[in-house]
Amino acid sequence: MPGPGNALNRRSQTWLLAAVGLLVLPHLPRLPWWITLLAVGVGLFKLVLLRQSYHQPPRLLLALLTVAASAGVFFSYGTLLGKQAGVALLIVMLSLKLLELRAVRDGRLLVYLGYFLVVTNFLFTQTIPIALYMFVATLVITAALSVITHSSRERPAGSHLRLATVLLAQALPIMLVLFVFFPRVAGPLWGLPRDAYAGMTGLSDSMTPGAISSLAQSEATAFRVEFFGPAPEPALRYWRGPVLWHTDGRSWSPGRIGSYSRQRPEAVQNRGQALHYAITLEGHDKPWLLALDLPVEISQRALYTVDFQWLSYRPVRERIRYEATSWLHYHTGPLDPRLRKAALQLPEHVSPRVQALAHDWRTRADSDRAVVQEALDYFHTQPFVYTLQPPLLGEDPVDDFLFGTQRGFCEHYAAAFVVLMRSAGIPARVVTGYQGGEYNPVGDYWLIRQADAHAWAEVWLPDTGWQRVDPTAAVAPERIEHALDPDLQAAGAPARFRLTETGLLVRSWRQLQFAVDSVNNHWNQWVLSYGPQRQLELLAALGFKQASWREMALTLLLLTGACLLGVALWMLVRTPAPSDPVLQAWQRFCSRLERLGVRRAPSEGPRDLARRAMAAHPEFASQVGPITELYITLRYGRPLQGSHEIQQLQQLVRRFPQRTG
Amino acid sequence: MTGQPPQNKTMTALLDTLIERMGNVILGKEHQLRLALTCLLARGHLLIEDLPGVGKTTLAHSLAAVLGLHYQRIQFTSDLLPADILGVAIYNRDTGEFQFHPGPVFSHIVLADEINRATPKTQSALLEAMEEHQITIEGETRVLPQPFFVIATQNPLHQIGTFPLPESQLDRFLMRIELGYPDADAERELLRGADRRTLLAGIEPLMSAGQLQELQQQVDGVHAADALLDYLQALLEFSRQSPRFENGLSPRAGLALLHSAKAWALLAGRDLVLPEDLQTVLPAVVGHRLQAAEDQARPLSGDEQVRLLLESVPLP
Repeated sequence: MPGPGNALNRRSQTWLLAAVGLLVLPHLPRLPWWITLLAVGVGLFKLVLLRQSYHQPPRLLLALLTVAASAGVFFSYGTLLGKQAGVALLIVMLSLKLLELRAVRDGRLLVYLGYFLVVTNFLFTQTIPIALYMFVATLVITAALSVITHSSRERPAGSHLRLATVLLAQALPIMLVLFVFFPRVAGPLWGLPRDAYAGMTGLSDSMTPGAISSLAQSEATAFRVEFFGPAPEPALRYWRGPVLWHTDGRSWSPGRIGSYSRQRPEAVQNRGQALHYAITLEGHDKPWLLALDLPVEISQRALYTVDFQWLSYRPVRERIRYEATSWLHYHTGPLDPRLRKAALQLPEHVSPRVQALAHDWRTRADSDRAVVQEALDYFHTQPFVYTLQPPLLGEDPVDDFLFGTQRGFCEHYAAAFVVLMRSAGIPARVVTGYQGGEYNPVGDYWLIRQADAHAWAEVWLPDTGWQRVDPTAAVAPERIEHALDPDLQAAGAPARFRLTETGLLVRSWRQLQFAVDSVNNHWNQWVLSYGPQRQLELLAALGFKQASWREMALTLLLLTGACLLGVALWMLVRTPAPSDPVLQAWQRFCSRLERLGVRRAPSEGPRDLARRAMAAHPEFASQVGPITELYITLRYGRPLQGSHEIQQLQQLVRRFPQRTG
Repeated sequence: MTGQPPQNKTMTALLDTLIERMGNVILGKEHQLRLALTCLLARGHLLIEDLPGVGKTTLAHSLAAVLGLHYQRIQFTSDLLPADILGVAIYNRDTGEFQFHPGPVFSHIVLADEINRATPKTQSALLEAMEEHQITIEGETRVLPQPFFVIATQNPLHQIGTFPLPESQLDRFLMRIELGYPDADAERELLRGADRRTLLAGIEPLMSAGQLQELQQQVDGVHAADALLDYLQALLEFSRQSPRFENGLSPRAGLALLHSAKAWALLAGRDLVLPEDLQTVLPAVVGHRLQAAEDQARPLSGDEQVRLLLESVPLP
């Protein structure tokens, strides 16, 4: 049982409850309903307990609750480990601990668990608002720590918050130093839970009807681009992703192309200008590094595939930034026979109608290029509708789409176009990626969202090599000029686009969005994606060349240790400056005496000190005496009116030591 | 500036003379004399713990002599009864009534020599009188004369067959002092000089009982600033928190310290208490109240306890 000295008072408990509430709140939407209910219920129950002085719930009940809740977590998640289950367990325990607040020790435990809970929030999201919110939560929980520490003395809430602010402000430099210099290791230092990368969105390495249209509903950022120079016109803003060769009639996959190199093959030649830009790619758990069509150089260590994709050596799981060079007009050179075979692969069953259509174009046109034009004209003239929510397709999707529904999204057009081209004997393939992007005038960069996901086709023509053809552009040219607006799509209806708005309100709203995204971008660039590479760059700029993370860790440890030792020594030696001017003057006097070799013992009284000082330095006796007497009067005598004596003391001390005749 | 109102000048001088006169009899013990006088001014009682023959009796006697107070000495023995101290009521055949014959306790200054030789019952009779300043015999309460000052002596050695005062009883004494051997110069003077008893007989009283009581009242008026009380509380707090002590100092000990320090300041002619006053009286006031913790590797001796207390609590 806690003694009266270390029992937690009501005020401390209220503070703890508030702090825990703040910490658990952002987790609630992620938790199973029963944990949310439990946490909120326990919080409210505690509130009632605090308002009315009921007894604490019995220990046995708490023990039973704890076991039951742990079992509940286990059954909800199938484990007690991992990110989600671990956090859920932590929250359950934290909530139940609220019912067991007896001694100061319990309060401290709750506070430390709370600090840990602050960190777990960042496992799920690292946005600026969450960071700010967590800062406030940290402030409140630190203030709660102050409340339970100073529970014997009632102080206003403001003073605790002030103390917490001061503490956090003092921690800020340490935080910054650790942030900048703590060794960054590529990949997690220790095993992250299996589900750490769940929920990353992005292009997939296969394409089935509907795959991209579902992605196109997402407003999430895919990547951001800064052009070092003018941006290309909208019709040329194709961001190259996975290239799909093989089809079974319904879905498309990369097939077995293999063959990687470290750099651009000699055969690929530039026919126009080269564009330089930097891309900040969001983690998507896949290896491809998106870049403007046709990417030829990249600053990242990566592989170049034979179908002109840059692949990272490992899945991109955190935001990375790289610079790249692309050619807008190019000639890819001759086609390897193996690739020609892959580019002419057709599904086992191609419907006669499709074959007939392709054959018809073949016979009418005199060149491959003319066949391509025939196909585009066909898409343009026939009543095709570009829609984000196309009807379901039957057994033979290509046939069904071309001659049945005639409603589709980019993947339908690209797939149908490639099947038609291959049927006509022209090597073709599907390219997925993104198209377009939105310019952010505030941050001077382009934002490409998942909603900009796109699929188009490439055909091999003898005079240009691989050539990009976008059948979607033939159906819905607006798609190329404007971004889709995911909020405005209706089933089966023609796709709605985000057009240039003229209304002042709408424009201001867009402007605000740009500003927010720009801030986010800086946050991403400088805070979240501060990884090993950036750290090495920064350290190199500071003169540390090729520092291994072990050396860095050791240096950091030594530096921190030295700093802490210094602070500890300083705290040991210094006497805190008192607020009382009399005491201030006295301590000043004492330190001046110390310089004269008369050091005051910690418990030495003024008279004793004066006696010693006068004996050691008789030449200053005429000053030491009056100063001491005045100090004694002011400090130990009856209270005096006015501050005349204080000023006199300060003056005397200021003049000390002064050799007088 | 830190002195006292002018009307007290004479009183201070008088007190100084008083100390000087006593110093003529008890040589080289000015500090102990001052402490004894401080104890008297603070309305406390004094316990002298020392070997026989170092001048305990002489001290008590001279104090009584210079102050012009009535003085009685009681030699405590194991067969001493409470009535031997307090007095008895005896039947008077002439009047047909019981008549009270006051015991030696009805004096201003009582020297209880070797208090630990008597049985606890007898000891407590005296201790009760000390505390209450009155005694009750045969249902009748009799007030002791004012001022009333008990000097008890105790022989720290030769404890066989004695009843050492328990801690709770020791607490009744404001101060405990040791006289100790005189230094060489004082000893030489003592050996060369006249007989102490002759000297004592020659002492003229310098003060009346009324004046002494007035002085005792002035002690209460000595100013103790908040800063000083802070320091006193820090001392008490340390004694309670430190693991080196069995028990911390009681609130009564705190009051005793403050009173003694005030009396000491008055004796020094000041009307405000300095930390030094507190530090000076501290060994005598807390020495018999502190107990070193037993569970420590090496329990502290009495002097070490006091030094630890004094050196551990910083003065701002």
